[in-house]
Amino acid sequence: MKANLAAWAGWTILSRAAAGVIGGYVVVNLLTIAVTNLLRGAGLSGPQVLLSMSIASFPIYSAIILVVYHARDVSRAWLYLAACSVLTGLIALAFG
Amino acid sequence: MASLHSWAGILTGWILYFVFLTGTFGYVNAEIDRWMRPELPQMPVVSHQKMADVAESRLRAAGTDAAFWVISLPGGRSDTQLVASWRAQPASDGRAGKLTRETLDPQTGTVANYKVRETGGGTTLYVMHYAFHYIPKLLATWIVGICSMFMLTAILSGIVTHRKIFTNFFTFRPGKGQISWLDGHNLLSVTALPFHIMITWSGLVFFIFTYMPLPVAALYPEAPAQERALQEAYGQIREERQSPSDDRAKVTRIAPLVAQAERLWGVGAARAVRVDHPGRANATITIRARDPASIGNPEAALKFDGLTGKPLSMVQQPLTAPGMVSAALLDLHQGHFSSPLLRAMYVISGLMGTLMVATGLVHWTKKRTDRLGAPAGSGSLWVDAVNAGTIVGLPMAIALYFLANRLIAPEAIGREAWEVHAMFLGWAMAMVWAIVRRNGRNWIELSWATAFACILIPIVNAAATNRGLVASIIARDWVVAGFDVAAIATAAAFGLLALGMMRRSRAAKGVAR
Repeated sequence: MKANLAAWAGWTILSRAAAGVIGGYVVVNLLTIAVTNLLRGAGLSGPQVLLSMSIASFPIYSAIILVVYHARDVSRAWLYLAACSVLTGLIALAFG
Repeated sequence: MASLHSWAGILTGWILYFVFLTGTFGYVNAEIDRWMRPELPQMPVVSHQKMADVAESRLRAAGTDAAFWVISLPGGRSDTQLVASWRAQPASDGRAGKLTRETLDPQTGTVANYKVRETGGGTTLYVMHYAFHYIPKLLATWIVGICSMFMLTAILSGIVTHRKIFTNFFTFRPGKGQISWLDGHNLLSVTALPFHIMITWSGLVFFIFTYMPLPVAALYPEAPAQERALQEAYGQIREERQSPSDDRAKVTRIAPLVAQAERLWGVGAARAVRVDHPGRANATITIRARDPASIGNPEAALKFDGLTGKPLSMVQQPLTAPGMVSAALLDLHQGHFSSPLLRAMYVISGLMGTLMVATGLVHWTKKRTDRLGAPAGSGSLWVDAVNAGTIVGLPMAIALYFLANRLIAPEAIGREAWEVHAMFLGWAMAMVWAIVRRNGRNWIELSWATAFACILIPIVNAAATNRGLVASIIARDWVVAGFDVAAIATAAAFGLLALGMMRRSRAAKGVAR
C-alpha cells in the first residue's frame, strides 16, 4: 500500500512537471504568435512585437510553469493548458 | 511551492555551479589572459599618436594598395600590444585577399617577435561558461538554456515561497544543521537577487532564437524574409561596402586624426583606426573609441576623408525599442562597460551566486539525510560525494588549469589543449576521490587538496617565469600581481574551510562519545 502511494506521488510530480514544462512551452510559443499577429493587425511592426514577446517569453514561461505545477489537481492543470492552447491557437490563426 | 523549488534546484545544481564559477572567472578573462601569457611585455608607455605614426610607416611599407588597414591601439583591459593588420585586395575570382597581422614595437614600429606560449587563456575558461567543452556547441547551449530556465523558475518560486521575505532575510541560525544551510542559501540569494534575475534572464536572451525558434519559423518561414524581419526587429542595417576607386592617391597622415579624436574622447580612448582603400581616391579613415559610453549604446566612432582628413558624417542607425532592451540586457550580463569597481562588484555577485548554488546543493542533501538517515551505501552519500567533487573539486580543477599553463613547456605542441585536459582530468580525479571516500573525510581532504593547488600557483609562477609576485610588484604590474594574490586568498579560504570542518567533526565525535 505504501509503495503504491509513493509510486502514485512520483507519477503525479512527473505529470505536473511535464504539464508545466512541455505544455507551458507550447502555450508560451502560441501566445507569442497570437500577440504578434494581433498587434501586427493593429499597425505595429510585426518583427518588433515578435522580438519583444520573445524577450518576455522566458519569465512568462516561468510563470506558466509555476501556475501549472500548483494547480489543485493534475487533470485540472492539463485541462487548463489545453484550453489556453486552443484559445491562443485560434487567436493566432484568426489574425494571421 | 517549496517542493518545485527543491526539485528544480538539485537537478541542475551541479551544472549551474560550473556555469556560475566559470562565468565569474569570465568577468576577469582579460586579466587571466595576461597572466597566462607571461612572455608578452606590459602595456607600453607611449602616446597613441606616436604609435599611430610608427604603425602607419609599417603599413605604408608593407600594405601598399591593401583593401583596408587596421591599427589596433593598446589600452583598456585586453589590448596590451600595438597591432597592425591589412587585407590584400580580393583575387580575380572574388575570394578575399590574405589578412596579415603584425605585432609592432610601439617605439620603433619594427615587427616584434614575442614568442608567446600557445594558450587558451582566460577566454577559453570564459567560453566554457556557456559552451562547455568537448561537446558540440548547440548541445551545450541547450543544456545551459534548460538549466537557466530551471533557475529562473526556481528564483520566481523562491520569491513566491517567501511571503515573509524580510524576516527570513534577517534570520541566521548557525550550527543547527540543515536549517543553517537554508539560512545561508536565503541570505546569498536575496542579497544579490536583482543580479540573479538579470543574469538568468539575460543569459537566456543571448540565444533567444535558439530557445524560441518556433514563432519566427511560423511567421517568417522563408530565409530572406526571416533575415529582413530580424533586421527590422533590432533596427540594424548593414553598411554598404564601397569598391575601391580606380584613381590612386596618397592617404593623409593618421596621427593628427587620432589626436583629434582623443581631444574629443580623452587621452588613450581610441581603440582602433581603420583605413578603407588606402592609396585610392575614395579612401576613408574611421577611428573607434575603446568602450561604449553606456549600456545599450555602440561605441563612439569618427569618420574622416582619407585624402584631406576632413570629418565626414557617420550614419548611426538607432536601435528599435526591443533592440535596445535586448542590447541593454546583454550589456548588463557581460559588463563590458563597467569600471574596475563595478567589475569587482560583478565578480563578488558571481561568487555569491556560485555560493548560493553550493549552499542550495548542500542544504538539499542534508535535509534528505536528516529525514531519511544515511546508512552507508545509500544514495544520499553518493549525492553528497558528487557535491564535494563539484563544489570543492571544480575550483581545484581550475587551479590545475593555471598550474598547467606554467608547468607545460612553452614550446610544447598541443599545449593549449593539454591545459584544458589537465583541468578536466583533475576534476575527474577529485570526483573519483570524493566518491571513493564518501564514508570518510572526503570534504576535508578535497579542501586541503584545493588549498594546496592554489598556493602552488604563485610558487610555480615565480619558479617558472620572471613574472613572479615580487617581480610584478616591483614592475607595478598590478594585474599579474593581483592574480597571484587572489590565488593565495583562495588557498587561505579553502584552508580555513578544511580547518572548520575538521573542528566540527572533532566536536561531533566528542558529543557522540
